[in-house]
Amino acid sequence: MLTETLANQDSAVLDALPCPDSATVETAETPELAVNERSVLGLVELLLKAPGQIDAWTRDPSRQVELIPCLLIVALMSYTLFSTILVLLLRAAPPEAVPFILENWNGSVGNAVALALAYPIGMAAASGICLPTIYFFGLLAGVRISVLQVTTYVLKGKAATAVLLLGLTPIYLAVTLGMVIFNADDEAMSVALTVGLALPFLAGAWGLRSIYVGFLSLADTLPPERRCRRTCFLRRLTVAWAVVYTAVTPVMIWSLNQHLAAHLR
Amino acid sequence: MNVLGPTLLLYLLVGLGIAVALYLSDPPHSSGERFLRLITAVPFWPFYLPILLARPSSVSVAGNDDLARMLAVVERELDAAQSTLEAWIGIPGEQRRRIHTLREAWQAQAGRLREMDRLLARPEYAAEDTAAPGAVPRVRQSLSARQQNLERLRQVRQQAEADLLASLAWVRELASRIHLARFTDAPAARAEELLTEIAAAVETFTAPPAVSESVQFIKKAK
Repeated sequence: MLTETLANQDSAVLDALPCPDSATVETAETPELAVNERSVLGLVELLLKAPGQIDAWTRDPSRQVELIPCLLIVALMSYTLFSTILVLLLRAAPPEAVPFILENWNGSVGNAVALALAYPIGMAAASGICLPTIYFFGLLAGVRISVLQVTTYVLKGKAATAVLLLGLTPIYLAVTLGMVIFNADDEAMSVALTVGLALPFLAGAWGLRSIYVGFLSLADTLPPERRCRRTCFLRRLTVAWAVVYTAVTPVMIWSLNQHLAAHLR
Repeated sequence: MNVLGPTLLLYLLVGLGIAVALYLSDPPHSSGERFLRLITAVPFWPFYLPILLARPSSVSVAGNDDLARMLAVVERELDAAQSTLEAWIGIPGEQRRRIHTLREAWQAQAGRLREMDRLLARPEYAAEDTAAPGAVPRVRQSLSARQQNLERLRQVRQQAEADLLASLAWVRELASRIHLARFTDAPAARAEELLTEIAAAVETFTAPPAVSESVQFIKKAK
């Protein structure tokens, strides 16, 4: 064994690590971005510029406690803003153009409030329902993880989705509003509104990717002799969880919307 | 039978309980931030429950709290000693600046300790990684070097804490000697001597840490 300074050791150490994973490498972004992680805006900036830095923070127990409320607030604010815009567009559109999935839509205030609430509450509720599953999947794969850490990862995924949704919303609003103003035909308008209803789920793919990358980076807590095999298992379990989550979320939002609409009528 | 109403009521009651617990156990935040936390904690309490459950086992936070408390006590004692000296002989600007630097050095050292605690509390560093029986020698050597480096880091952390505590204890002793000297009518020269000693305490922190000659790593085989 030779002794040297730490300055030029990276290649040797990386080569010695068994079964390197692309997801693990991706999270190691340097240098650290100097932002106030306790502020919501600082967190949004980090999600955009250095998501790997948040991945690193999600492994720090003292920062997890700070991150959870901020990530939740970012997600809720973004979904609320999006659903409000969607509701306004639905009310501005002709009744014939309303997508068939909103069969009970009549443009009333009760319907509007129900849909505006269904998105943020449904998204968060679906995450809450799927939270224990991903925790048990992690334990099953053998990674060292706490409930607090899993919660942080899932909310980080939510917040990543929310930030992308915020970015897409102005484009969607401009296109759809243009169609409303220039009296586009009902069929095209219906397609545009359907895309709007599905937009959070399309953006959700980015959030799922964020959860996947973060969760797989935990593979380095696995014992080296079993890391390779267990990482494959962890990858499959994470994908399985993502599929379940993708199915649960729209069902949750739809059910919530139906229920709230019936009560607020 | 409609069970939704009672279930929702129970859910919100649990949320209310968790919001209260969070309010009582949360570290100080701005009022707006605290309000947002509490408002979101009632309907979304399942996300906040892990925070409450994880809090007691957070060793590093508890340790840092002790350190912060200790620092606050010593700073108060130093304030009192400074006031006594100011009233007695007056503190020259240079010595005042050095005492200010001493306070900054304490805070920096405490911050460094927190950073190291956070790092060492990470799950990947908590348990020892051992090589599999059939692992190649290079992997074994790497894991062994990693363990040695982590052990060295733990020693560095202990040394940093010991240095900080020694400095705090020394300043407390000097502060008590200042009060004693003041009320036993000691000469002004004695006060100046004690002031110089307090100001000199900063030098215990300005020395850079020892060069890590013994940090281990495996050199890539050519």
